[in-house]
Amino acid sequence: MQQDNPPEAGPRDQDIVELLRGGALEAAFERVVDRYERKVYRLCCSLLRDPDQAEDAAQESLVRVWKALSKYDQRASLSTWIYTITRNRCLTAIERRRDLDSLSDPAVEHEAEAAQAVGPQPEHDHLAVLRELVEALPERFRRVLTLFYYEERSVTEVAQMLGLPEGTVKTNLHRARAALGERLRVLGLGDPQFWLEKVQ
Amino acid sequence: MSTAADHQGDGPIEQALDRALARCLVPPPLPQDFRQQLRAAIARSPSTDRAQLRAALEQEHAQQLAELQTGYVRLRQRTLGGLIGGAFAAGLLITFSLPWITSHFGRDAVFALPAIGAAVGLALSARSWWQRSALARLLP
Repeated sequence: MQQDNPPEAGPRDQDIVELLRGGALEAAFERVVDRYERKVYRLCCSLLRDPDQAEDAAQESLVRVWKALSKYDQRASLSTWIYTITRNRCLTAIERRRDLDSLSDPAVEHEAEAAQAVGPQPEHDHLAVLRELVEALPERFRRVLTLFYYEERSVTEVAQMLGLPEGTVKTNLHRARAALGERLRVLGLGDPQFWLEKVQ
Repeated sequence: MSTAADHQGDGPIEQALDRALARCLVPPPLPQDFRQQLRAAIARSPSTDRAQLRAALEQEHAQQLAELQTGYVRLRQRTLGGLIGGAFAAGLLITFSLPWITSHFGRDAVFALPAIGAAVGLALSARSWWQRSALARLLP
């Protein structure tokens, strides 16, 4: 069931670093974008939970990478450096969103929620229930879990992306799954055969 | 590559859950025009960010300070040189002119020379003070 990631095609970090050493900044950045744009976007999606904001954050992160690329000193690996820039950008966006939320008018919010409630209800199939349960998990579990599956079950990649030790990622994954299993049992959806049939 | 295989339980519910999660947590596709938007954002962004601007200003400030320091040291060296040169010249002048002064003005002429020097010094100081106070009056 578990699968190792296939070796990634395309540019490697070492190739990018060689280009940087040679002063080929634009070529290096092109390869950074080829290699990391999807990962950066996924990380932003996982942290921000909003595709539009994630797109903006991913673009701003890559613009920052472009501006700082000439000063990259290889003290950290290229991936760690890029993910750190991305995380910082996302944290800024989260703080900004929190500030905006504190300014919003509760009456308007209530009206918007009411308008959403009278709209068409989403289809509640069982995978949608599972998705909702994942969304309801504590933030640290949800981020690890979503990125784990986005990155094809690579703990190492998730640890790098979130700046966490691999042991912490594994622990959070275990706890997230345990919490999901428990909630599914409460909902009467804890039968393995049921899920195996659903994902056939 | 490290995976969570060693960490994941082998129970049937865990296996089923893993497959179900893999089905429902699919990576979001990158927006189609992401690369174009990124190029546009890079083109729009100013060539220098705040950190670069700060570094450039700090460098400029350091250069100005170094230039000031160099000018100050040069001025002090010139002043010191002028003083030493002036003292030597005055000493030589007095050494050669003292016999003539003594023969014309008597033995007390030796005491007249420091008095003349002090008077000249006082005159220069007074002139400098007067110029400064005149400048100070011009200031608002």
